[in-house]
This record gives sequence, structure tokens and C-alpha cells, in this order.
Amino acid sequence: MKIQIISTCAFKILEREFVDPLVRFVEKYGTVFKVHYKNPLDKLSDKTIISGTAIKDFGYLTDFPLSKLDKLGKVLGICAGAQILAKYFKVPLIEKELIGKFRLNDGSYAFFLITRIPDPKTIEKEFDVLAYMEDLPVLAKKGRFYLSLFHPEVLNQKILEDFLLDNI
Amino acid sequence: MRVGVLYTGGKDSHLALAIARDYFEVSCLITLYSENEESYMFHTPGINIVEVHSKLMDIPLCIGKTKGEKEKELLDLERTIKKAIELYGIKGIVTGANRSIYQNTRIQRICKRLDIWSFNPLWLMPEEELVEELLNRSIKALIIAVGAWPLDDKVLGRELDKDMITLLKQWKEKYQISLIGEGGEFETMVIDSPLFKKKIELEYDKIYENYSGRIQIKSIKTVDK
Repeated sequence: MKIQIISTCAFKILEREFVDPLVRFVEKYGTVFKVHYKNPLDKLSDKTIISGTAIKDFGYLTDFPLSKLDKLGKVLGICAGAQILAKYFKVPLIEKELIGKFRLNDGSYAFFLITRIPDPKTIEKEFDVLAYMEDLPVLAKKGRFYLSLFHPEVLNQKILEDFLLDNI
Repeated sequence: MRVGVLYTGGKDSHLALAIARDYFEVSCLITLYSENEESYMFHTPGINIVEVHSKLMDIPLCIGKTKGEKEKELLDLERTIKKAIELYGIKGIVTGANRSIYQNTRIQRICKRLDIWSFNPLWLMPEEELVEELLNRSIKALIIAVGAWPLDDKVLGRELDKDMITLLKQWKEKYQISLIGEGGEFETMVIDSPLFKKKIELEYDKIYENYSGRIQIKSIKTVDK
């Protein structure tokens, strides 16, 4: 399996925090390469993960080439990546600070670092919601696109595995 | 970008500093002196060494004080970071957080409130890679406190060099200890680094009982390398 990890990080040092841990986890499942969104993306990857920080860094919301998502295979957007996918589907982002470890409705814990989330009402209406945190949809799916508002590489790695092995 | 490093003088914050210098201008070190030896947030053993490190690296030190009461110490940290923003014009904070969600999220929240960047270059870094990077960057650290079986008084004062790391790897396999002391198994103090103009020599006594102990520093000398 060929897995592409797209970094949305404004600074290379942030990739040590938001991209490299993902690379380490997913390389057990296939050939991984990472690319910054400002560089050419690989259309032939079986799976794509988009990740970055979404607390102060929002350049990707204006610069990410959304049309390139048309040609990718299965895509998981984590945090900043989830915001990009929301924009792709024209879901508005609302201000909501989620920083820390929170319990999901299935009893597991997830690590959030996000300050703008896709509008929950639109997500519930237009996506299949796979996980909630209280009444907020935090993991959702539409076709081949998956949005995760939390970082599964920190807590809840099973979600990454399920995404890679087509179990969700 | 100008950044400040949350600095304790231990191996993790020093490594984070060394990495940060590859990307940014490190304008100050930020240290909180905690009166609480059991602080959730702040490393306490040998903390005064930061004053020596600051001089050896020509990086100013911004000090705050805290009683170390849970959560209240975060306000003290926030005040100290604010002071660093005013004095040194920093736009971001670098930390050596590796696994602690508690530390990471609390600092992220402070940075969000103060509208500055947060950088955690050691975040989720595997222990083996972290110690490898310390060796590759020629950062020399001593074990200055121990807090778990089988780390005994013979370990106190030992350098975290290849031999010690090999021993820790054996203990990790046998007793599931953390190779980097993440579970409080040990604390370190950097005594030499390529960032230092001189190296540090310590004279100390050992205080040790029941797999818990620390070195008590009697004198600190800086000597030519």
C-alpha cells in the first residue's frame, strides 16, 4: 500500500510534532512518503492523510489546492486536515476551542488541539458521524473522505489502523 | 522568528533548544522556580543550573517563581511567558514535552491565550531516537535524581552516555522503565553541549534511600573544553 502524508505545517519544525508521529505509525502498513501541500501531491497513493496544527496556523485554509483532492484516493483529514476537507465540502468552520484530552461517547479518549471546527449541524446532516464527544461530531465520513477533529496518532490509534485497513 | 524555550537545564529542554536553533532565533530561556518538588509541570532538581547555562550560551534567562500548587502554577508560568514576550519580543514557545498530555495541553492553552506559537519538537519521539539524537548532538547530561527500581545510588551522577543507555535499555526490557525517565525514573542535568562555551564540572554529595535519591551540589565550576 502506498500512503501519502500531506503536511499543512507553516514551519518545518512543526512536522516533528504533527506529521512525523503519523509517519512512524503508518509505515507499518505500507510505503509512506510525506509531502508539504505546497509541493506536488501524489495522485497514485492508495491512502492520503492530511495533518497539521490548527491553533495558530491557518495559512492552509486559503492556500491548500482543494481541486487536487478530486484526484486522490481515500483521504483522512486530521485537525487542520479536517478543516481542509470541511472547506472542500463547503462546510463552514465555527470558533470552538478543544484543547486537551476528552472522552468520546464510546468511552475511549482522544487528544484535541483545534480552535475552529466544522459546523456540527452541517456535519450531522451531510456526513456519516462515526464518533461524538458529548454532542459534537468529532469523526465523520463522506464517501472516501474522513474528518477527525482529534489526533489519533496520540490517543485512539485504532482509528488510523481502521482507516488504513478499510475497516471504517 | 524569535522564540523562548521553556528550560530546566535537563536533557529534554536542552535538546528542544538545540533543535529550535536549527529553525529559529532563540531569544531567551524561560524557567519557573517551583517550591513544590512534586510539581506536575516543572522539573525541580538542580534547577538553578539554568543560570550557568544561560551564561554559557549567551542566551538571557527569564525567571518566574511559583509555589507549585496545581493549576495556580500555570498562572505563574503564563505571567513569566508574558514577561518574556514583553522583554524579548518572542512569538513562540518551545518545550521538551514528549508524552505528557497534561504539560502539552496546558502550554498550548497558554500560547493560544497569548497569541503565540507553541513548538514541541520532541512530541511522541520514540525514546530510542531521542537518546540517539542526544548522542548525535554531543549533549552530555548527568543523572542527578533517581526515583525507581532498579536505579540506585551507583546511577546517581553517571553520564547518560552509550554505556548508561545500554544499561537502561536492558532495564527497560526487564522492568519496563522509560529510557528517558518519562515516568519519573530519573532526572538529568546537562553539563556539556556544543552550545556551551565551556563545560561544567560539579562537586556533589549523594542523598539516597530506597531507590529514591538525588545529588546535592556543593560546587559548580565552568572549565575550558
